[in-house]
Amino acid sequence: MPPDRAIAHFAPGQRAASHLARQAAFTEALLDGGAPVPEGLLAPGGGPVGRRFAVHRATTTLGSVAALAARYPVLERLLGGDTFVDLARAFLRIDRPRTALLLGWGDGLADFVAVHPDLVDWPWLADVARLETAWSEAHHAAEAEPLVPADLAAFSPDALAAARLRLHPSLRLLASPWSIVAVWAAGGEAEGVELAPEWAMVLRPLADVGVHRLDAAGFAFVSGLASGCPLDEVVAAACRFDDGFDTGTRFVELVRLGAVVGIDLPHDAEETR
Amino acid sequence: MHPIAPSRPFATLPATAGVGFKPQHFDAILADPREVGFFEVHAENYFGAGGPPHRRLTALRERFPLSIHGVGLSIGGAGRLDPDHLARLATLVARYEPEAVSEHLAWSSHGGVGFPDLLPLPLNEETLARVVEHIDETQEALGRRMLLENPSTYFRFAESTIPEVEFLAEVARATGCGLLLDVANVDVSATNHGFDPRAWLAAFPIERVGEIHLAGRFETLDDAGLPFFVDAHDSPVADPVWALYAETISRVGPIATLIERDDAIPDWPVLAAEAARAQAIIDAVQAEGGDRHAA
Repeated sequence: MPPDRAIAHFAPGQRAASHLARQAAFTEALLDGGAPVPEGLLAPGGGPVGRRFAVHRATTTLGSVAALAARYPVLERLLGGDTFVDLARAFLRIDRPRTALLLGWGDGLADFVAVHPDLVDWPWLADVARLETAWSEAHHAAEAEPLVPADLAAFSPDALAAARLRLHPSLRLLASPWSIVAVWAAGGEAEGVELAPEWAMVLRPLADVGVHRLDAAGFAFVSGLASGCPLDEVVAAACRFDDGFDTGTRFVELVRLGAVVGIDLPHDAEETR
Repeated sequence: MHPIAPSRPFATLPATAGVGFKPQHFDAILADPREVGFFEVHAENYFGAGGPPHRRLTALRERFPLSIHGVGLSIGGAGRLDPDHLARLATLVARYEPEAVSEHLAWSSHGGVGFPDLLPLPLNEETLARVVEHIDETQEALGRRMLLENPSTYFRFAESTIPEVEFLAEVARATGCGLLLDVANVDVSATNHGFDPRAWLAAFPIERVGEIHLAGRFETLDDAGLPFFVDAHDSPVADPVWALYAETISRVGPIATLIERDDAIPDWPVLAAEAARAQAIIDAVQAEGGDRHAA
């Protein structure tokens, strides 16, 4: 379209000239790479603006792909860079960031991977992505000062039995039928993935995120604590997976890892932190 | 009447050279505290509650003046500002009390879709009114004045009626905000639209500038074979931009100056050396003429 027609089309006062309509047209053209460049964009001398507008198409897409790659580095390594970019572009067709804030965007990628027809032969990939989501959430979670084992001396075993624990805000739990912690720990360089269940606890009590492998009983134990059940009930659940479950050792280990930030005793009893 | 006291300065960064902070440089910065005057961070990278990003920023803030630079508030958007985004920005600013807070004359979300880009807007009475509203709202939420950065643009809009310098000056006048002068953006836009960057800078209300940005660009050609610059932040500052910068501060006096690098990020000494180049220009101006003439 020659520029004089474009100017006429967007003459001040016309509805098409409104900022909102302009933004809507821009958005449409950015979301659909095959759509024509919006009207009324001018280059010096009235030349075409295709390459100029294409910069915004590239920036918006590549910026979103880069944000996913930063959040899912192991998945990217497992798939290979080019495949990951293809996957991310496909994901962008169904899930865009809601705002320009990309921090925390992309949680849906794991479910997208789980049902992606090209990835059915690698069923563990979705759980690796879920582990990376948990890692990212733990990385940005709020600070809270963890208890240390010495803090436990203030409590009698009887009082603790009925206590509920407050766990660190960064704590995330994930169970998978696949050996995803091993895959994750190898940074995506692992030779093989086993159909061997793994239970992961992701935790960042201080500066660094840790990924800890639990067993079934340990997972039941921490899951129960995370849902706010009293300690004795949680131990009963854990014992169903391991009748030799050693509560004292497990509890101290959890505290030692920095997973516990407070102990709430029932009603009248005192409370720490 | 404007709620933000006009007597307060636009920004209180020292008139020195700073660098955009990248986490991979953290250890090198603390191990080798060479002369960098301040650091700038992108606000949105610190919208999480805690963890390593905030631990690093806290340590940095204890040692250096800080500029918080927003890239996603969508001040140039047609719709209302995202109240959640603004609240998180206000929380961050209250937490770190930076010497400068800045945002862009751009938009980045529409109808529930966000774009990691600084998208351009037409410059006319309608967008002027909207930008003024948005800056009023932002300054009220922050309880302080902000700086608005001049954009780099790749095309003009047929419905634009106000020259960019006039638009920025009027926004600053109406809201009491300061301006962030991105000299690299001026040169990018000047090339892309065929105007004289020196004329642009001569008309720009330099007395309202609280900070300067310098960055590299990607040089290519447009469909018609005309020179076309992309604001890529992936390379060293180009020589013509250094020249414009030196001319500007020798005319008006030293201003806090940031080296921006957001892609293809080199090792810390490379960026520190670029900052040292800006500092040398500042020092030369200071030796000649002392303080900033317009402040």
